[in-house]
Amino acid sequence: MSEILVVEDLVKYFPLGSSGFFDRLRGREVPKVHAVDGVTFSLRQDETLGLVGESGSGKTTLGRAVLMLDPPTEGKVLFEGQLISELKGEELRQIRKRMQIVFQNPNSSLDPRARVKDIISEPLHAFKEFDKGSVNETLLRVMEAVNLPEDSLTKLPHEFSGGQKQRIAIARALVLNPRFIVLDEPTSALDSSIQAQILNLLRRLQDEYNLSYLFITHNVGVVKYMADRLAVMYSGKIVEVAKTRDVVERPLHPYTIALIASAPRLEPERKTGEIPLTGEIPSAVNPPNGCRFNPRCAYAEELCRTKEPELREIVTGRFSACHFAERFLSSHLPRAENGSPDVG
Amino acid sequence: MASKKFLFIFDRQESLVTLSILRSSVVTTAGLVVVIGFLVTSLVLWLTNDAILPYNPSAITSAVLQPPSLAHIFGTDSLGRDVFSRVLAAAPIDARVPIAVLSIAVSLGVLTGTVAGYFGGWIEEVIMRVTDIFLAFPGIVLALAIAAALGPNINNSILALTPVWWPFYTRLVRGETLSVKSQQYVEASRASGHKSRYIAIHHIIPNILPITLVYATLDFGTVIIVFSVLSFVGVGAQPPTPEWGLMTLNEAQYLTSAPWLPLIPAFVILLVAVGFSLLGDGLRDALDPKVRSLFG
Amino acid sequence: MTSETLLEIRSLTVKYRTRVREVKALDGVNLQVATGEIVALVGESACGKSTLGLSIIGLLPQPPAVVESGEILFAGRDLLRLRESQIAAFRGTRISMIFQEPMSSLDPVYRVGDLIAEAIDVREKRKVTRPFGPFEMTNPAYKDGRDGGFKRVFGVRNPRSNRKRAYSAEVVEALRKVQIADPAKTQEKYPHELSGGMAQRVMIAQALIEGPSLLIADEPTSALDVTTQAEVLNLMRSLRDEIGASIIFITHDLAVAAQIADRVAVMYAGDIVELANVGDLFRQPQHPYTEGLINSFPRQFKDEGGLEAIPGEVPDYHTQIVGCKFNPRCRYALDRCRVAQPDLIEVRPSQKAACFLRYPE
Repeated sequence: MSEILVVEDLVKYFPLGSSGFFDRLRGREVPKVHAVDGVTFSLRQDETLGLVGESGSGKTTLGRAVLMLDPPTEGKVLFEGQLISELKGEELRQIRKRMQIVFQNPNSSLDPRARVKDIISEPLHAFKEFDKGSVNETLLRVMEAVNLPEDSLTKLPHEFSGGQKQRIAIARALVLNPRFIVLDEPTSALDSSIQAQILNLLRRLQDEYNLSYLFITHNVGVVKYMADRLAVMYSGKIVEVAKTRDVVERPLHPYTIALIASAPRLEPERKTGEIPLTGEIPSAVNPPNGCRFNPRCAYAEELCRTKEPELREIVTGRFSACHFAERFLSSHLPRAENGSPDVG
Repeated sequence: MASKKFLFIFDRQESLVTLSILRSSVVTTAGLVVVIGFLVTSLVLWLTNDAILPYNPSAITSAVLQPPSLAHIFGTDSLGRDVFSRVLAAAPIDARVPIAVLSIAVSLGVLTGTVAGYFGGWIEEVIMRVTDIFLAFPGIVLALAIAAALGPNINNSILALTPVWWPFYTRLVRGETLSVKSQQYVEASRASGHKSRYIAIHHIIPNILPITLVYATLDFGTVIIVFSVLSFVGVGAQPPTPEWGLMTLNEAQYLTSAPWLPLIPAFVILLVAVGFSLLGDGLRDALDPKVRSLFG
Repeated sequence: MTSETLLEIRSLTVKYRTRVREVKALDGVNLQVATGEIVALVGESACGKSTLGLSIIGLLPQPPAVVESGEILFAGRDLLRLRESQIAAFRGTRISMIFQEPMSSLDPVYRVGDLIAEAIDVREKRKVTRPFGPFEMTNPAYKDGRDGGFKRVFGVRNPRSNRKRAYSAEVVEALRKVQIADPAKTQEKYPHELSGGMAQRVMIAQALIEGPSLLIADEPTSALDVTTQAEVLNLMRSLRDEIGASIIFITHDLAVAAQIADRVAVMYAGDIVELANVGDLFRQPQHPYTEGLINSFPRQFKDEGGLEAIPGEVPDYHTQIVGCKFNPRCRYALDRCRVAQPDLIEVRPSQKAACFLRYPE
């Protein structure tokens, strides 16, 4: 199975505050926010890679950088074998046909003054090869795919509920027949009962249209249900990547352990206990020395404070950025009485 | 492609919704009535060339300083002219000037503001500094200077007043553009592959235009007043042309002896300005998406 | 610890009057909260949970809200019949509230220590300038009051520095109780220097200064990271154990309710549709909506089968539904459900549901 997306050593820095004209003259260095600080991963065709992290992890920035919406500061992005991180202008525009995004908040991602038919067909109008007939045909096809009635086309966004608006956003992402879609917290702004509808829809579309997904979320239960493989991010770096089941049941990084343990379960008799975590998320401008997680880590040792760990393969297919990842190999997270996995 | 829109913003269904929101409040309905009455009157008078007026507004008679009566509803002025006819005759002028000034100012403002806000960088710097220079002049002083230089007539007044207003709109539009630019639907458009020009025309402008037009309606009364000042000083409308501000200020000396003379035109200015102000407020409400969703 | 009813809400109906129409936010809601109990109000958008919380503490914006009928009984008084000045005496003293966005709720121009000191100061002033009246202090530790440099007899206000010094020990103690590391240093910080979790803890500290018997928490962890949320939930549980306050915990997250609550009230479109002990609710839900919510909560892996979604849309305020409000989406709907509204009846001991399927006949 080939890889549709390969990311190598991607770095994205944002300058903090604006450097004025005179600052630049004097060569003053502007402090930078290290949003994404050297990330390497790949996504296979027809696969869903989950990207989990909390605030400050850089997951949203990474999603946008991969699509070149906020081009990376350094590093390479290869899409379908082509180096897109060097592309600009018209060449980049043409690539956009094959990769799309669905944003978190359907209230702000749809133009409140535009009718649904214009919203969904908008991507088609960016490229001259579509004529009126094929536009209509595509519109109807895509509306059916997301289960929206045809009469929605003439309405305005505010006439729809959150879940329906998100379907409109998904329809818009499908219209150019992309191969790869970045889903940035697509259900976080929706009610719980609607969330399941949208997740099921996304899975069905993936099967029908052979899509590859980068699924960004902070919700462990959701990512379990959606992702084949899971990458955990902390403070701009990936700390663990493996098959979803392995990450959730047999995590190989202390942060992952804490993250999985914190996710609230639907069983009241199994209360979240003490989390092996102290302190706060570190500054993105001045990350700690050594392993970024060390100030909060329950297992930190001297090495962790001085040397930054590499993301390395501990066991086949399971990667962790912890000096002592091997120690976690033998332990499993506790399981519920009926043997079902611990989370949710 | 896109459905037909009135002024880039409303298509037919939305216009009806806007109308029903305006009609739902007594106050804004009053404003709407005044504004429509004013504009219709001006249009009719302009088209019929003052033919339907009861008296010739320039006809000097010997019946001077008559108080309001059945024959002369608003009385007569110091030259025996019928005040009612003069007030009505002034309407087209006091309509034409603000409409012209604001149309040009808003168009220029939208153009420069959108470009400045969307592209940023040195383009924005240049545009905003030029705008700042214009804004540095006190409005009336600037208008007077230009009007005096060009020569006193109504069309020159329009040319004189426009530079006073467009900088405000540039600034307003730039601010709005910056806030719309950061919205996710603009990003979604970029992610779809659209170029900046498309985004500016299809997303930025339709979203900044409503609030801009609201401000324009609120400015209407102010333009009339500034124009009146120009006329009074002698660089705007010239006597004997009827113009509300001119009438008010020229007949001010009769405030104690024939109070209807200055007060009636002054009241008419007030009425029209307030009417537009109420309409503008109502429109601002009507454009609020939360209010709109209540009405369908 | 004997538990008695602290709060009783009877038939509360609240409407919102907009320019065009009137919408019902709460439709005859009944609820009791015992002392020292944590009750979770769970529901999705427009279910009325926030409206209910605000009604209790008297912070509903009226207009546009209108309390049409009902009673809220607390300490022998009907809170809905009190004047603003009377209900204000309850706020911060016997009933406290914390909100979702801790950053917006803390005044950014004051240091954390000053914010807490302000809450203490309000308490002290209440004692001196206006005797507490018919209400007793709930927490005996504060009954004697602290001198704190006050001129008690004439209620002369302390200059700020004196007050800060006087309260400093108590401020540090308050911060320590909410598990803030290094309270002495934290009290010098400004709110924007705090993380979301710390800011929420400061809010909790402020809310608990006067030892209220009821804390209303409106989505206090929804804006926090999941690891921080777990810590704050643990904190709230232990504080309840320590102080004995009751908590009404409003949330949209069923799992959070499972973690924090003793009893859960599931709300849908202005009604409480199920009210039960937390264990019973999740083991044997008696209302189809509760069952649907539990089933649609993603817990399984991608290869372990699908998720059962509740069909249809969550009704917003404007939607008028005839009969049981959940009937359009309910897989078990009977003809009866489409014409009449079921009452909240006891289905099993301490488990109530509003569903015709559970009616005994």
